[in-house]
Amino acid sequence: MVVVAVLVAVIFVAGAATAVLSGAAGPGRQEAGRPALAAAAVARQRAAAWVAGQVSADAIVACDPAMCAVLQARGAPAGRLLVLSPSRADLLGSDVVVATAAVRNQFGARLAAVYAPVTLASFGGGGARIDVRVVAPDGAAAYWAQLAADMRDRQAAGAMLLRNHRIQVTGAAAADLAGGRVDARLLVTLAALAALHPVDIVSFGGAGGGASVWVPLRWADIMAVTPGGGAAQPASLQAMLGFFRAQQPPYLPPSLHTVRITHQRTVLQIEYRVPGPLGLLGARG
Amino acid sequence: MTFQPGSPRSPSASSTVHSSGRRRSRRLTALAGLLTLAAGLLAAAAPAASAAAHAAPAAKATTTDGWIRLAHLSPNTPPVDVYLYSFGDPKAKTVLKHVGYGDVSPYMKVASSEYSVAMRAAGAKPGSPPVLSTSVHIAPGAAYTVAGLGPAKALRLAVLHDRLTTPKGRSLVRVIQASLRDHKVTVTAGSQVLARQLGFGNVTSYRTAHPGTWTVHVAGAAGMATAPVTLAAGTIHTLVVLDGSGGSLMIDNLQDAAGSAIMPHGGVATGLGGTAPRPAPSPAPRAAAVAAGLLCSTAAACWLRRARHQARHAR
Repeated sequence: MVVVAVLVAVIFVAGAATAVLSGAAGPGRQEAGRPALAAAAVARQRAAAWVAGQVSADAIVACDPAMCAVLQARGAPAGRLLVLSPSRADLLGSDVVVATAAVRNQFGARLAAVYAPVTLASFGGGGARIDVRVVAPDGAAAYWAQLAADMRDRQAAGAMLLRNHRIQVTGAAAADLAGGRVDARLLVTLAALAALHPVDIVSFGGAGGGASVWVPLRWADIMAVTPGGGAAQPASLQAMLGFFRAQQPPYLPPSLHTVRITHQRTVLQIEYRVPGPLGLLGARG
Repeated sequence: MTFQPGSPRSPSASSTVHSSGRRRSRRLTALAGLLTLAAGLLAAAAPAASAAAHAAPAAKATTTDGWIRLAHLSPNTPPVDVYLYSFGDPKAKTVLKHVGYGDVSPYMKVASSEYSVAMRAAGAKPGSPPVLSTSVHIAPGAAYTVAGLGPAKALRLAVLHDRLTTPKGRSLVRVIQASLRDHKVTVTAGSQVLARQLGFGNVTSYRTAHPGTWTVHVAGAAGMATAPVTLAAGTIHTLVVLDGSGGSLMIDNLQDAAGSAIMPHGGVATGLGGTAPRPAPSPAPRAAAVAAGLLCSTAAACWLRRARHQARHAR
């Protein structure tokens, strides 16, 4: 069993290397391949770091053996990893796939067209490029339909929050709300939070480098304000912190920090991980 | 000279009127006719305007509001208060308070909007951090049940869309499985299976049923229950399977709505009695006023026309 696993890993590493080196030809090919291999290794490390920090802790990650090894070295439990192999070319049961050159070669055009249509983040370039993609459990067509409906709901909810007089919001953040670009988890929590504490939304963010424009913004920097609009006491920020800490998944943010941005201004940074659930808004029973 | 509106005039009489006097009398005739016409039209229009003003609150109630109620169906969960926070209006906070397991609150009317749904322990301070559970979109004219389902450790609030209309002459029935003692139950009504091996915390979709009194039977691995359920035509029911005393099961028959109108009228049993719009007043007085106004206008118009005709012949 162990021998078979090692052989599979060797085959995948060899395949990845072949794919990376496919651009090099003629004399000096081995010399030219070294930087490419190094670039692939760097991309793997960056992708692994991003997955460890940004992908939901209960998400199942599909990866080739080499990538899975790097993810495990970064602390990902084996139970969260779905190792792809020539005998197991199936993403069923996974939430996210780390698409290295070997995985792209394995699935071809079907990877984006059928199994995993949206890119969350991208690392490296050329043959060394690694994409982290969302797996569509019911196929790409169904996923796009759900995503479009989710975006419409986010737009409608964002427009309502813009009318909420207990929410102050800057131009860029207001445009994000109106455009339906903000993650539904943030919208739901901000609506409830504003009923308890007036909020100033400083900014939204969180799309990874190379991410599809469809990926919602999943972090927010917010400040506590007084009902009159002035700067609030630190106790208000602590109360807001307590509000978020009291939540349960999917509304409990894995990352919560207070950051002092000027002498008198401290923001609360709220960050959710990917992939965000679709259909949280607009529940109609 | 004063014209007698509506009285016949002979050509010879009109020929004795001087030219300047004819012009003046024509102006007076026109003015009088116009005033009568305007008065008639006003009389006709006033009840219509009044009707529109009266109908406005009812129209508002039917087009911008929905209804929501809370059902506590988690056997080992202590009482909770459920809060609805509107996305757009932080003042439009709705609180649904309940007593305990198996209780269902009356429907509350809420403005159509997107809401964050959160829970607090019953009686907790409204300023304390609530635990968010879900969000709900309240559509105009629609009714929803927020049901606390699942065990206490994994309590979730499910939003169920309540139907308010039935096919003509039929009744609708759905089943909620809220018994923790029997994790799967089969529910039958007579020989019809309403739910087969329905898991704890699950809800069936509505099924159409013939009106009548049905013997509803619930069976799980450990317990069972039987109860007669009367389904009247046009009524909508939710049958809730609950833990009963002494290891048995219990069937709670909730009547979601009665009547085939979109906004069901009815008593407390419908759950919507207190929120249903009041019936409009009788249209008879308004109709009489409109008829009188139109009659007055028509008479004035006829009189004005004849006065002009006579004046033309008098030139």
